[in-house]
Amino acid sequence: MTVRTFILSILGGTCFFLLNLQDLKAGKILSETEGIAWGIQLNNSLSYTGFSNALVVAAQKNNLQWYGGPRLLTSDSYVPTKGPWGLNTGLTWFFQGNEKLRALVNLDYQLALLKPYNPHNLPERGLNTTHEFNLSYGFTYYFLQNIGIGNSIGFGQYLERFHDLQEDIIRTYSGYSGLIRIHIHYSF
Amino acid sequence: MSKKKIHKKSVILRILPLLFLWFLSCEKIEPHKIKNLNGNHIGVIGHGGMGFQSFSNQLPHNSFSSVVQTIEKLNADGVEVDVQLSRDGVLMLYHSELLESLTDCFSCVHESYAKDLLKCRYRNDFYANVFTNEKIISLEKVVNRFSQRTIKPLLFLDLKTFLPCETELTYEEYHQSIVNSLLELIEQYQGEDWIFVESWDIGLLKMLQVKNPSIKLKISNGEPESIYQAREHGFYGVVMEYQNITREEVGLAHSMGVRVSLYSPKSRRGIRKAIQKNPDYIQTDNVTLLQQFLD
Repeated sequence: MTVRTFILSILGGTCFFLLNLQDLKAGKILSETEGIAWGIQLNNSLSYTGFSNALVVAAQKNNLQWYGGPRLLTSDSYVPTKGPWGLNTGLTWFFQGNEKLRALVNLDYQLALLKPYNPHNLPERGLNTTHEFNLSYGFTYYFLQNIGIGNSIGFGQYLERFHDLQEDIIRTYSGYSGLIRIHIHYSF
Repeated sequence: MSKKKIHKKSVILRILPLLFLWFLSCEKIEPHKIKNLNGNHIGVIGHGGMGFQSFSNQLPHNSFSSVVQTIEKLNADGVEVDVQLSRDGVLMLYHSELLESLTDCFSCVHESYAKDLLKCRYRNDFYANVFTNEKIISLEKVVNRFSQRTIKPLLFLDLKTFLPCETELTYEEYHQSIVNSLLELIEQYQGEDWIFVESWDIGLLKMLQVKNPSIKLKISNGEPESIYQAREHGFYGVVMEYQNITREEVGLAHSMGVRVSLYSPKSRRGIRKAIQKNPDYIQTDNVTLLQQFLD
């Protein structure tokens, strides 16, 4: 990801948010759902660990949605190093919207499981892990009754646990993370 | 309803072969095909640390975190760093001629005192500005950290011997000072086996060789003739851009006992090409991608 892409995405998301603010305000707050509404969602994300896709199950009760599922990291570099699988879960709050367009705030957690580079076959202590926590805002636009597409943009923190194989020490690193996501949601 | 099912099935049947082809397209280098003077293993060397900056690698080149994490986090074999000498004779890690091009300081390394250089904060791009607080560091800080490891990582020192700012120093005096400081540091930390010195200036390398013949020296002038020069002077190896040398020339260097380090590959294609030339080391901006090829 280039700096330009990153900034443009944030600006684009913000403009989209502002342009649709009036429409959203005009819409009523989503009504209460009967029981739990189930669905599936494909999250295509760009974050600290690069590009990734997660196919998650989503369960919604009133304006709160939980989702969770496996994640596949698709960047072929910067991901140290093999075994790019993980987990994506989180909570979404639809704070404003109507039948077509819903504004959301999302608390997202992503896990990446990474096999350390080990050409000399030193003893390993499991997989390296990268945890990412992001708070983002965005939209879902339902162009069909049960199929919606949306995006979200946010910032957060990453926490990594890496095995220094030669010294046999587990080291931790942390820093700022970010999230740009496009998602497709299908409600059953 | 049945039509819907048939449609879903056909979509799956179309996607599966594509996924299969995607998996087949994954490239892997067979380790047994690598033949070099480094135990038939290509050493993974991070260029300036963890390589070029991105959102996934927010650390500036030659910064302490970048250099150290290449070894401690990515388990690379070594790092290449750029070395310059401060006005008061302290070896500092910095790449460019002018301080203002990468940091919030002004002037040049050779015209600044170490205590002032240590305050210079990297601000070369968006990531360094927003996400990090890395400053210029001394070479000793890195050497000291690595010297405490059981297995020492390879530390390639790329000597930047330019004098871009106005100075009273002559090149000869500057070279003499840099040689003395390097020798002192390498001997203090017993780094003859794991600290390598690279320079385009054969005269400078000869000065080091005369004072301490056990230091591993490499010519980095980028010319294929440097293979012969390295053999003639008894240097450890040469450093070449990966596109400027053929597999046959690498083989020739090996037959003369000269190690070859290739630099600058970062794309998938470039790294594959560099590996196929059988070098002893690859200095890359994309450490993790190179590791994925070799692991």
